[in-house]
Amino acid sequence: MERHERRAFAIAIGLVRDENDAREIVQEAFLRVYRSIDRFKGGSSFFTWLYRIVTNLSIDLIRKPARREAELFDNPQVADNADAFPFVSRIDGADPLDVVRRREIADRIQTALEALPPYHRAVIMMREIEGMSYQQMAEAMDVSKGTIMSRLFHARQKLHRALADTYREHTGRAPKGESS
Amino acid sequence: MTDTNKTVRDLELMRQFDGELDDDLSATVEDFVEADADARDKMAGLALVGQLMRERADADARADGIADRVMDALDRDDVETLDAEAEADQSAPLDSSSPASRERKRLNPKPANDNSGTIYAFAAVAAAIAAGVFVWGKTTSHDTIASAPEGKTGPTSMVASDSPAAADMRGPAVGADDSATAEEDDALGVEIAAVDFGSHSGSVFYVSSGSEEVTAVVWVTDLGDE
Repeated sequence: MERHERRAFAIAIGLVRDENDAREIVQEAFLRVYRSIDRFKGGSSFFTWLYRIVTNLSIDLIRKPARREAELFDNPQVADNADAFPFVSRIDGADPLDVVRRREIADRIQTALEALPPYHRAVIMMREIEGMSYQQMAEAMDVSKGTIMSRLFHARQKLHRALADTYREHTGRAPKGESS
Repeated sequence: MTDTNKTVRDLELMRQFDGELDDDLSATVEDFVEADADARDKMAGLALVGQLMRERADADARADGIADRVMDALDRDDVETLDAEAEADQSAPLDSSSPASRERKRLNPKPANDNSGTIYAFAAVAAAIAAGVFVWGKTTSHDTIASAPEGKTGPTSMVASDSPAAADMRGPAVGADDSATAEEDDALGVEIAAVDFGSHSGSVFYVSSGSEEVTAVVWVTDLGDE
């Protein structure tokens, strides 16, 4: 249960970016789940159902006009050209520096994540944290699978850019194939 | 390789990573990844990003205990206010009010649709009527009239004898004791009941002018000004 609380919270705060709102969204989602448990027909994971509610509550909140205005002022664009990061596959834990690298990469990814447009952030959170399929995400966000794929692709490219920056700082050169 | 081809390849790598390719295409991409170091690096990058995101999510304890608090809330009395929300589609987007504001509203001990004041008022009236019946049953004289309460008093309302409210108020009192009314059918009488409205106290006078009609007069005393 704790893991699902945390992941649901991660999805919520990843979208609404306000701790109180995120906590209340998760609470609301659990409440709806518990109140409607007898109507749960199965067909998908119970916790996928929970995450879907969390996602919808979060999307509903960020669709509010005041929220959208806030996003405009708090959404710096990041570069789009990400490419290969050969050092990534060699972070296997054997090197003591791996711990430092992982933490640094995680921080960079988090920063890049927070800079994503909300709908791009939504798909990457749903995909990576919950593992929702493209179809499930399309249903949750009421868009086509193609839209989900496009958003996910661009979100990942931007996150990979964060990896590229870390790579460049560690190696002093750009990743292979990156045009700077 | 053109940018378009590169994008297509990256998109396919992503779909392969997510398990979203059909079997034939998946096998093709898998062979390609085995033979291409850059593709392997990209797949490793995808895996690392996801892993780090999950690690960060799992390490964040700010949401701990939310499920327990929800269960506690369900055990309390505020579940009635949640029924309407539970009827909503579980996966549908919320209506115009924010989850946060609704949640605060739900957890408010006195929600907007709280009818407890009205319920208490009716309960007080019912108690007054019951007390009136009791007093009336004890009274042998038909013309008992109590003096007006002391203090800053005044009749605050007079309910017409044929109004629904009057019927509600007097119904139980008049019909509650048939044996007592048997000898008073045609007599003019006043029945009095003491009422405590919380911040106010007062009396209810039931004036029967005939066999059928009863007029209720409510006399309220403002205790705060005494």
